[in-house]
Amino acid sequence: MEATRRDFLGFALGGMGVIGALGVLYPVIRTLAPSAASTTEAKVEIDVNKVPEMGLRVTSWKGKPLFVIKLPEGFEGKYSYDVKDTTNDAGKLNKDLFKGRNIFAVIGVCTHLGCIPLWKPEGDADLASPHLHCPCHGGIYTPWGDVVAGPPPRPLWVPPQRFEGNKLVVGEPGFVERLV
Amino acid sequence: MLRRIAAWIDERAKVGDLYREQMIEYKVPKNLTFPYVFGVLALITFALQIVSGIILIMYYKPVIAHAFDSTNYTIMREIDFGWLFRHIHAAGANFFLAIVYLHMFTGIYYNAYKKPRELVWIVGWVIYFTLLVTALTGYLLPWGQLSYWGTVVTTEIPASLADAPVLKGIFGAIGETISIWMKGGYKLEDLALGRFFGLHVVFLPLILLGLVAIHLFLVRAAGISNPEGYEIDKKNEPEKLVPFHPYVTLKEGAIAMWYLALFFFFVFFYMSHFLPADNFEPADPLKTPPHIAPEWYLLGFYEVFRSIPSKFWGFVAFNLILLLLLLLPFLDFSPLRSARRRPLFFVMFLVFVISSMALTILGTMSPTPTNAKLGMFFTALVFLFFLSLPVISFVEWGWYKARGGQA
Repeated sequence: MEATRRDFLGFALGGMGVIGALGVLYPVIRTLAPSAASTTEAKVEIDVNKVPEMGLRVTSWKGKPLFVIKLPEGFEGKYSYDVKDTTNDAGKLNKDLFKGRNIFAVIGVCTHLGCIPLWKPEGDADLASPHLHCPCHGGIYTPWGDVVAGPPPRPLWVPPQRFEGNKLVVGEPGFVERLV
Repeated sequence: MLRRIAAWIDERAKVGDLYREQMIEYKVPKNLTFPYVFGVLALITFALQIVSGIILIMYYKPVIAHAFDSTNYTIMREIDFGWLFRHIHAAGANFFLAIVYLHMFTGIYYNAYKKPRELVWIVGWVIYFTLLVTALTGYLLPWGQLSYWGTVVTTEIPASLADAPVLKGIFGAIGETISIWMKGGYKLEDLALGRFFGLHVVFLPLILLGLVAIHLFLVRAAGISNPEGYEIDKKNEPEKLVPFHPYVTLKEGAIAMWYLALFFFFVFFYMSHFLPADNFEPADPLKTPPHIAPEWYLLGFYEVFRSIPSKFWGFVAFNLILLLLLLLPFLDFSPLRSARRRPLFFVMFLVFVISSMALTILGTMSPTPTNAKLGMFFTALVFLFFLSLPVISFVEWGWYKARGGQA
């Protein structure tokens, strides 16, 4: 088929129209991208000197509550927990993931239905040892987030984290490589 | 497969017939000139305004505590390409009115408001008026110094009715009522911002969409005017017509590309006029910025208003110009059409265009006594244009009859 002048004009104009439409579509879609403010939430730094022993500091990471917990030296020898047989995405208990570190961060969202557990450093009637207790359906976690009792199907989520001097940096790989 | 889906839809929706009727069997005069493109350009700008407006509305907050920051932080910095859509919207408002003015001057030049197109002109006038209100309400939304003080001045204008030579009390009460009802109180606050916002983003665009649809329908119903000023007999003179597609679509499409190139040149590289520096300062009800004037598209009316010594008569004068513009099809009842064939009309058309431009330019200058006199002079010329139309029409009826009813 022979291409005419009119075909040429039609294609040229149509082509420019398509380029223009793409040029509109691209920024329109980009306006829907997550904002810079929200992406800065993907990294949190916590000064661990300001967290008291047996204390829990709540901050937020990617919009979720983040529990930074500081346990005293020798805590592991002092208390023992009868944990359930559930593991995190790394196939481990959270306790083993932290490899005896006494400062760490877990995501403070119950893995059952999303409530925020309470920190009970003195224990309570259900369990004398320090633990995290979810008020919604009575899930009980060790301070590392492993399930002791109740409906939670898995330990608390653990975000990637590393140490930088006396700062715990959550959101960057270190002693925990990825979200597990 | 695609072809079969298209055929399936077409069999039911008859899109193909619609396309053939409206694009190919729709014939327009061969000799349409360049200015006939302004209608399409206005339509394109309207589409740009709607798309960019939808993006902006997602992030704008119509509360005075947040309006400025949501515009200048959230939209300009936080959202990817938010600045682009604000630039498009701000420049688009100016381009829209510029194109509409050109479109109106074109219509006046070719007498496209004459029978059977009076309604096209009247609906077009309503579109123009609605557009002015849309621009005015949108101007307040960024809640900068210019937004605020521009609106303060605008809402004060009806109060000039209080200067009436007679019935001061009644006129004053009407003026103040209009002013307070525009603001929702004595001050510009959340109530005013809220109603300006509502009008700007829902009510006025809906009205505009409807009016534009009616305008286009009327153009199709009456047929497009002809630069030579006579109605083409579609049956006997088919050689003077061409199908709308591809002749007009290709030509106007190409011009539209140039238009968009110019538009985006401003959007990307030259926004300081459309987003002046003063408006990047939050509104302060206790401090008026040193330079304050309406946007350029209102300067003509503003100059008429301020060069007339009495505020009341200034108010009456610029409203009268708007009204005369609406009544144009009835002021000009000559049997002849198009400035090409009407030397007297052509001269007065030039007077009108030059006076409009002069008034706009004077509007940017400081109100010295000389400028006020010039303003009065050009205001008089604008009125002269409108008043000359019936006179010219009488004269031309004489010519028309002398030639035995031949245009």
